[in-house]
Amino acid sequence: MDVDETDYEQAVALYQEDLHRFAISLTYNPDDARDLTQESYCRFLTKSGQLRDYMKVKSWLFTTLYRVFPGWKRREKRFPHFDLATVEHENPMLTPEIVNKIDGDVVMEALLEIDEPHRTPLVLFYRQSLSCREIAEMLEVPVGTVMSRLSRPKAALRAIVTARTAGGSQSNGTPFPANRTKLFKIA
Amino acid sequence: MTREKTQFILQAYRPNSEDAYDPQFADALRRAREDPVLGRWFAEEQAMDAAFAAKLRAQPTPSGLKTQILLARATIRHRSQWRQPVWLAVAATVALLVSLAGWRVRFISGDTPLAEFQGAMATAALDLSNHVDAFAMDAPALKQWLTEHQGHPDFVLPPKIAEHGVMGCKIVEWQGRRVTRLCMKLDDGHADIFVANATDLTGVTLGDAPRFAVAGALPTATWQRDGKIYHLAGNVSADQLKQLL
Repeated sequence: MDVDETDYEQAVALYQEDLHRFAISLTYNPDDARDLTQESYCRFLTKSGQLRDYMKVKSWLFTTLYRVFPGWKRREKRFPHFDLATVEHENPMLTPEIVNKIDGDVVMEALLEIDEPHRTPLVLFYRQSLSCREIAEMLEVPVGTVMSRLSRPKAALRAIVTARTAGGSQSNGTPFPANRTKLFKIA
Repeated sequence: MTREKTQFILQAYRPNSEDAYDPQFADALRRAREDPVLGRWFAEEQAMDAAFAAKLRAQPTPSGLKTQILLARATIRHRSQWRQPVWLAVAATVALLVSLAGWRVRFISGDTPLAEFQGAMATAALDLSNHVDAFAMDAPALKQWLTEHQGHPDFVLPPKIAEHGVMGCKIVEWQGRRVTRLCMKLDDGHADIFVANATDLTGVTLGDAPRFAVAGALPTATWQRDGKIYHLAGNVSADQLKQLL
């Protein structure tokens, strides 16, 4: 499809916030997230001829952002990975009531501690409310793989939130701590 | 299916989505309803998911991002101008193919006004460029848009289609007359409903029971109601199209 001004403005109005949240979840860097979001829209302008179904603009943008992301990924290599098992035994009962009282930045920081291949399905599940099949299509993996990639990361997220909460960790007011040192790698 | 396997599946379940129609999820959901222990675990899991989702969705988007993206368009448009001749050639080729497709549809269908209309609308349904001019609107906004653009805001859709909802709309022209196109997203494709004034199709009289046919490669259904001709065409199977009515 050819993108005219109205198409473009509607696509920006409808999806830029969701796309940016997705980008933040991938990059945990606000500057990279802005660039990544903008780059996805640039490709929408220049390469949307690949898009045949108007209904798929949103998933096309998300898929494009996800594919462009590796170029922004280099920062992640600076951080050591820790096995999830190191926090699993510290996981007491976490309830929805407790989560409701926790600062949103703490949850966001915990999410960003999970290594990227497992973080992405979690982001699409929690933040974009995508179905299992939609996540599978976007990541080009079988539905069973999505289930696997949701199961342990969900446990990891709860474990990290629990550890941060129990440890008295408070948000510093920004979801992008400059002194990030850990990234939980799920085996 | 064991309880552990059921939990594994249900952990990936997204409420209010197509997941409920997936046989694997449907079976797991049934087990959760029948097994009280599993049911309690699932309710807790859903509550936990909702709590995490609410926290994560609350993260703000930086102000100015939208403006930045919109401003970038001017740069991109300027940068891509050298490609224009290529795109003009492509557009010309597409236009030629669409014209040929329309001609082929007309040739196959005959030359009655209804056949001409069906053929032209099948061609329009196949043309996915600039497919809708307004989308993601609720029903009042959609009708308002159609009123402002001299469309057919007083259309009446069959119950299943009305329940499914339309994704967007566009006004297309046929022999100088305005036809409203309502586009729907389906699981495996999309379908368009074209609405025209019955008086624009001279000599055509239809009942309110759908008349099924094939125009071009597309299964179609056409009927008349309250002075309007409705023509449904979709890139789906004939059975899928019938299930919409």
